Amino acid sequence: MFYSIYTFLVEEAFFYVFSFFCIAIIFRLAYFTLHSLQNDPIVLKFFNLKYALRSLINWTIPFKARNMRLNPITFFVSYLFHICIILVPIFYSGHIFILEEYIDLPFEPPMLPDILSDVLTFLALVSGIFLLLRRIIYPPARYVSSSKDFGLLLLVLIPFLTGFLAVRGIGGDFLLFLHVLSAELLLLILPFTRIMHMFLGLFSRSYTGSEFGAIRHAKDW
Amino acid sequence: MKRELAQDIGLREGIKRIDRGKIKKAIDLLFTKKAETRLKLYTSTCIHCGLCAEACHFYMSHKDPSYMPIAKVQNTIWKLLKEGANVNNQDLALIAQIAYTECNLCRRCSMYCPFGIDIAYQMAMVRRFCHLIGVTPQYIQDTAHSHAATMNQMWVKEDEWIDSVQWQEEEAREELPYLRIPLEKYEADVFYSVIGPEPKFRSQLIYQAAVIMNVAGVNWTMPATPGWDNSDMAMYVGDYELMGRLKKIHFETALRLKCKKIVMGECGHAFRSVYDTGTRWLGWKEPPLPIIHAVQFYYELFKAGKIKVGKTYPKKVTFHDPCNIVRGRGLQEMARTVVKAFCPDFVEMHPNREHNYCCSAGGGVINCGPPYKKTRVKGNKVKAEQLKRTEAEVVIAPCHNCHGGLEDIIHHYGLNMEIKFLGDIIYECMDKSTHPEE
Amino acid sequence: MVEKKDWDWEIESRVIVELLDCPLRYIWREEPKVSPDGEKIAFIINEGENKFSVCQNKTHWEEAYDKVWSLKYGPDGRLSVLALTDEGRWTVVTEQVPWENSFDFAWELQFSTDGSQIGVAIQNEQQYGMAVNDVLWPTLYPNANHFTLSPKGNHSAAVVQTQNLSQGDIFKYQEGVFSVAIDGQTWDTKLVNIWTPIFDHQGKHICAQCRTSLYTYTIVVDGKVWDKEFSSVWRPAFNPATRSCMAPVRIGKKWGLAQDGEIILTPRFYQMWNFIFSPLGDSWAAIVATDLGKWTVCINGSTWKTHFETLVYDITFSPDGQRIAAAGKNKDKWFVLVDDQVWNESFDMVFEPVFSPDSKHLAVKVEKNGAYTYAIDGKVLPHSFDQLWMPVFSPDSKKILLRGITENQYLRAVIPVEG
Ligand code: SF4
Ligand code: SF4
Repeated sequence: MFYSIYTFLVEEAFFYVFSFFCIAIIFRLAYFTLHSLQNDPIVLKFFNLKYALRSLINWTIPFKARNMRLNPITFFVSYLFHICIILVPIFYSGHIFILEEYIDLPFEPPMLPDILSDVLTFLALVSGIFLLLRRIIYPPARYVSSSKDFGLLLLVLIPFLTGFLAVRGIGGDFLLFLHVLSAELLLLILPFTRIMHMFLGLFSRSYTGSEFGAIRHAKDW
Repeated sequence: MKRELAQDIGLREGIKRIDRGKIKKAIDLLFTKKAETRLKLYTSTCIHCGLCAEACHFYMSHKDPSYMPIAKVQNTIWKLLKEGANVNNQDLALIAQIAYTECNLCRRCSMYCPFGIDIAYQMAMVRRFCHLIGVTPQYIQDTAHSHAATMNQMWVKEDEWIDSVQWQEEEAREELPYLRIPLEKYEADVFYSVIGPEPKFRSQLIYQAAVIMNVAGVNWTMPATPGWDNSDMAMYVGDYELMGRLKKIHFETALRLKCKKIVMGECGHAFRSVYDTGTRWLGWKEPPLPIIHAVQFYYELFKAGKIKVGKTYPKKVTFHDPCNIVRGRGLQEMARTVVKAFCPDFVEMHPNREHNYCCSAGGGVINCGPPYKKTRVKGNKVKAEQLKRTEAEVVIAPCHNCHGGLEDIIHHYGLNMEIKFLGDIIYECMDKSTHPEE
Repeated sequence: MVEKKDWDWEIESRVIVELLDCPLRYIWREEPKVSPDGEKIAFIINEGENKFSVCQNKTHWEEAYDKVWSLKYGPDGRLSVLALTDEGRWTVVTEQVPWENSFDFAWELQFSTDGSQIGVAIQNEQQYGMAVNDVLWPTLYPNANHFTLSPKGNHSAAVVQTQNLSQGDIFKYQEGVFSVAIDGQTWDTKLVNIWTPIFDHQGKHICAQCRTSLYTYTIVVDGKVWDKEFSSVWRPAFNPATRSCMAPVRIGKKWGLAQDGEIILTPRFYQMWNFIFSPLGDSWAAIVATDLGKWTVCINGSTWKTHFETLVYDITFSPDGQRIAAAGKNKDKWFVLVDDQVWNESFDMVFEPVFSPDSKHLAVKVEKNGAYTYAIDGKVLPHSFDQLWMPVFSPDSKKILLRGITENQYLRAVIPVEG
């Protein structure tokens, strides 16, 4: 039975979940854009591409921003965490093989060597746990963290943990099933949670960058 | 969060008169139904990481997380979002207290949050909320009342303004016999405006400005009508309608006199209001006339050779970057050029420039008066330590609020330092022999 | 007073004062003022030993004072100043004759349209009010602002604080302590704030902006507050024909217009202000921003196509009410805007446009490269001046009186208007 549900999840469900995920994200981003047209015209009026990019770039260069230098470990681990959780799901060979079974890709998709995928997954877990511990130990983070914040982080980690174990043949089909289920669940709720910061953060950073650069003639990093 | 409600009748009486319907309307307007996109965006984006903590001098001084930037949002906006109009009175008063007295709207935290989330904007929204429900600290509210009644911050009556300008002109003539403060001079290049406290408490600044203008041969004027005051506590109290009214009369006074540009005295918040916040509210994307802060003006005069170093300033000085002209306008290098020219013994404080700590008086906090003096002084131990490390004898701060704030800090922490405006230094050390004699 | 039609409209150009240095010794000379007919030019002079006086057409006033300021020619050509006497009291001096009354302080010197009435804001023993033609208000107040003389000068008014407020008494303030005093007599109405009282042409009625609480703005007419409240308002105006009152009002975040308390133009502008009626009251105009940084003129509800980024200012109706002119600004360039057309040339400054009495011509004082001249019907005069006063049309609209200083000479010239 597992197997049939598993194939369902991997085949049809994934298609729907993923489409839903994309549409929901587009929808959310469109919502913010349209909302600002209506309710906060200042944002678009004062948006300035040059300074938005200036801000984004300076915040992407590792340890450029002063706060990164003040908190090198936290920022390093966060970078690592984000890199891992983005790269692995997309470029893990197993995922791509499955994809190729269903879709004829017109090109040779890039893949991570399995050993690298393994290492990155492991790092994702370690860095994720670090962030979890940071939330508990570092008073400012603890002060502002709610159970939701912990829950979300765990939710992000589960597919990685289950995937990591499943690849090692631990937990058998059940774990594999759990892996797919948790990943799809994550995709479903992601657009409605704080995890949207990966997209919305670009908006807020760009706007702040525009104001700091064009109006206030100051750096914002 | 442990906070005592201050002895402030503005808050204490305010909550007694509260109207639940008003609260609901204000929440709808500002935080839910009609909320601006920015507010929604910031609420949805913040990942509760606490990385903004070290941006805030309140947190750095207390090391108490309830003082970190996002905690202030948590204890105000998020609370209102959660509890809606049922929020209890005591909490409402504390919300006001946080927004008005525990955040200087200094925007330093925008530079520390990885997403550039603007906490100052959110605190300003909370203040707007408090204004709309009528729970505001007494002193700053009184200042806003003065603005509305007299178009200046300090209840200065129309004749008192003219009188103090004419008096300073007379005083300054003892020093430079040909000195003039031209009132109501049409078509002057420079419309010079100051903040309400200048004629009231610091009229020597008008004197000094007059000396600098005269020596530099600037074609300038000041108005003899309301509109002379460029300050704006309405902006900080959250009364934006009044803010617009103040900015309008200020601009229209300069336009009436057909001046080319507005030069503003050494004040930070007024500058923020005139070149940005108030202007925008009125519908201008950029100010209708160029707005030049004193620091930039002095820099330009210096570069043009119109003010020259007569003697160098003998003491060891450091420079405090006022938020509203540095993080708010990038004037840090211009200021340093002038400071270094006059003061050979100059040391930087650290951190500096955009990253300098706020004085903890800005954002209207000092204007909330004595009940909160302790909050802002204790909340800026980190500034005291920063100043102390420089071992300077003098700190130059080209902003009125910074002066008030630093003075209290220097006093409280027993630092042996003097505070000066940039104009003080220039006035003292410039070569005045070039003053034209007719 | 010489009627405008009897001014010298014939001689093309006449130097009034050749070398502008006054004959007697003085420490300095302040900014010159010129009479409406251009026949006189006057300065405040510092005579030394802290004595100030006035020099007009190279002749000194006999009297010198401890301080003289606010030198102004009234519309009738009489010269007035505010002067500080030996006793340390301020008074108004017109054509060398001081008022009988003197005050602890005097400012805001103003004139009726014909210049016959002279009003001034005064303070005596920390009490505030006005005096008109040497007659002081019977009652004075702890503070007053917005001192206003009616067009005919028959009445004067100011916004007054009716009782003392102890320091920081925010709640009493919010109950309302301000009113309008007319000739010293206040309305019964007390409001939280009142701004810009405006007289109608006869001086019989007053309308003003007001705030009935910290959040509710509206208009008050003769002490009666409009029923409707707004989130803000700007200066109202009386229709000269019907005496109804109109003002820009803000609902939510948008500006529109209300008349006698009813909305007559649905709020849709980002900004709407400096509302004016045409002289006959059949049209109105206001400066509007259709969006952030998009300024234009709105006439009787329709907006012009031309927009300016930075500023639109000084809107002016022609006497017949058919035409409108204004100054417009993009970045640091000023333009003349008339009937939705922009004159070609840009300037460093554009002053308030002046229409001819027959409404056919438009003359505007403009500044370019530090020199002043007139642009008339789109053409810039070839001469420029170090200083220049506003153009004045002759009553038959055929000539313009020019008053200007060039090469240290003050001259008046009469230039014919082409076409
Ligand atoms: S005081 Fe400055 S750093 Fe602290 S929360 Fe307010 S804006 Fe942010
Ligand atoms: S405001 Fe920015 S730095 Fe502060 S908790 Fe939120 S995301 Fe983190």
